[in-house]
Amino acid sequence: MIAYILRRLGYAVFVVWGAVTIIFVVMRFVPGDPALAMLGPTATAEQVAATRVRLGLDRPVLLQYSSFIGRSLTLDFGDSYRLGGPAIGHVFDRMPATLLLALSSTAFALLVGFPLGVAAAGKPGGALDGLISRASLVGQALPTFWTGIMLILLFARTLRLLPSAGASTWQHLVLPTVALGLPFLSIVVRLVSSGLLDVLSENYVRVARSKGLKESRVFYVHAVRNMLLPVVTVVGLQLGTLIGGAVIVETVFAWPGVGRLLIDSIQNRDYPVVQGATAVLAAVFVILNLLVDVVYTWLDPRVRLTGGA
Amino acid sequence: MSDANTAATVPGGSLEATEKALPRARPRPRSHALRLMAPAAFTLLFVVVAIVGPALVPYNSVEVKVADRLIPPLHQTRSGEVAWLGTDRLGRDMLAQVLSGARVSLLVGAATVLLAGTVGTLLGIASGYFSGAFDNVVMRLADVQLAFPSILLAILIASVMGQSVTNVIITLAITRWVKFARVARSAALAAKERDFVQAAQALGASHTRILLGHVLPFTMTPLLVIATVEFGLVILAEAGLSFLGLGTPAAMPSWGLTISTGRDYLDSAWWISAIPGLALVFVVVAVGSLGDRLRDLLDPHMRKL
Repeated sequence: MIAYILRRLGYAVFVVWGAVTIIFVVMRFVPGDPALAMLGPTATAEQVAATRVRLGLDRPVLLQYSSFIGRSLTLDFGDSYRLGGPAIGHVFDRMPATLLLALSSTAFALLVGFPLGVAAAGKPGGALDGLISRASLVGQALPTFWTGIMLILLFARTLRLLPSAGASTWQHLVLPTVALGLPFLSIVVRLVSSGLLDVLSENYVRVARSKGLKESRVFYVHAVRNMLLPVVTVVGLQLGTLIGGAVIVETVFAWPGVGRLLIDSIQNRDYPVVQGATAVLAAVFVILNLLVDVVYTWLDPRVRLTGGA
Repeated sequence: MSDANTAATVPGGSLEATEKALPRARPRPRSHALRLMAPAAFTLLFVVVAIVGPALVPYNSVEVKVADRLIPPLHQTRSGEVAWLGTDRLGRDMLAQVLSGARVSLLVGAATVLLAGTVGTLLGIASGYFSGAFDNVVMRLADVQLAFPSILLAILIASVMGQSVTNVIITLAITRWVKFARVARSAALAAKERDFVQAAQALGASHTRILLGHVLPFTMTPLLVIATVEFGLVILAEAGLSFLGLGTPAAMPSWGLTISTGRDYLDSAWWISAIPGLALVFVVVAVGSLGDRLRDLLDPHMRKL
C-alpha cells in the first residue's frame, strides 16, 4: 500500500515537472519581447535591454529553463505586471473560490446524479429510464458557457430568483454550480444506472438474496460498493474537465476564482500570472488524481496486489 | 499498459481489454446498425447544412442595418423579409450567422481531427510497433500532456498564438493527438503479434511497408470511433475558446463568439445567445451518439475508453 502510494507520488512529481516544462515551452512563443510586454510601448531601448538582462532573457535557453524550473520549485513565477506583487500570491488568493465551486459542483453531480441513476435502474426500459437516459445524453453535450448564460437568462433575468454575477452570498454559488455540474451529473447518472444493472445480475448478489438478506442490505452492502468503482474512476477522469470548465464558468458568472484570473491575465498579457495560474491548476489536477488513486485502492484492494502501473 | 495513470485507475484496464478484443470479429446485432441511422442522419444533416447553407443564405459580417437591429425570431424586417431566427445588435440576420457558424465548426472539427488523427496515429503505430525507447518517449510525453486538462492547455497555447482559424486548429490538434496515439498504439501492439505482420516481417518487408500496409489498416476501426467522438469534442472546444475570445477572429461568426456577444443583450434579445447554443448542443449530441453507436457496433469492448 505505502509502496504503491509512493510510486504514484513519484509519478505525480514527474507529471508536474512535465507540466511546468510545457508552460516554459509555450511561453517561448509569446509574440514580441516579454521585456517589452512588461514595460509597455513607452519604454526606451535601454530600459528594455536592462529588463532583458534582469529577466535573464539574454542567457542561453537551457540556462533560462533550469532557472525557470528552480524558481518554479519555490513557486516564484515573477511579479504580476498588472496587479503588482508576486504572481503566485494572486493565484493563491483566488484558489479557495475555485475549490469551493469545484467541490459544490461535484457534490451537486453526485447527490443528484446518484438517486436519479438508481431510479433509472429501478425499472430498466421503463418510461422514467428512457427519460433519464435521454436527458443525460443531452446533459453531457451541454457547453457550460452556454448553459450558464441560459441559467442567467431564466433564473436571474426572467424569474429574478438568483443573482447572476459575483460571490458575496451563498445564492451566488447556485447557478455556477449547476452550470458546471450538469454535464458531470449526466455522466454520473449513466454510470450509476448501467453499473447497478451490471452488478445486480452478478452471482454474489444472487447469493446474498438467496441467503434471505434484506433488499436494502443487498443493495447497500453488496451492490453499491462494487458499483462505486467505475464511478470513482470517472470522477477522477472528469476532474480535468471540471477544472477546465471552471475557467469558463467563472468567466460567465464573474466568479472570483483562478480561472477568471487566468482569462483576465491573458487578456492583459500578464504572463507571470498566466504561468502561475496554469501551473497551480495543473498541480491541483495531479493532486486530485492522486487522491482518486488512493480512494481506489481503499475501495478495491485488488489494485494494491497487482500494483496498478 | 505503459500509462500508469489510466492503468491505476482502471485496473484490468479497458485498454488491455481493447487489445484483446480487437482481433475478434463479433456477431453484429442488427439493432445496432439500425440504431446508427438516426444520429448518422443528423450528423449528415449538419455537414450538408454547413457546406450548402452559407451559399444559400450568405452572411456579411460588415453589413450594418441599424433599423433592423434586435428583431425577434419570426418577425419581419423593414424590407418585409422574415427574419426566421431574428437579427443581432447590428441588424445582421441570425439564420445566416448560425449557418456560417456551422461552417466554421465543420471546418475546425474536420481539420483538427485530420491533423491530430494523422500525427497521433503515426506516432502511435510506430510507438506500438517499435516499442523500446521511442515508445517510452512518446508515451511519457502523452502522460505529461494529460497532466493538463486539455481545455486549459488549449487556453494557454491560444493565449500566445493570436486569433485565427489556423491557430485554433493547431492549438486543438496539439491538445487532441494523445487519444489517437494511445488507441493506435494499443491496436499496433495487437497487430504485431498477428500472423500477417509476422509473415510480412519474415518475407523481409521494410518497416515502413509493414507499418503503412499491414499495421495501419488494422488500427482503422477503433480510430474511426475515436475520430467521431473527438470531432464532437473539438467542436465544443472551439466554441469554448471562441467564447473566451481566444478562438476565431471577430469577423468569423463562430457559435461560441456569437453566444458571447449575446450576453450583453440577454434582457432585450435572448435569441442571440440561445440559438447558436441550441445548434451547438444539437450537433454535439448527434455526433456524440453517432460515436457511441459506432463503438457499440464495431467494438463493444471500447466502451470504457
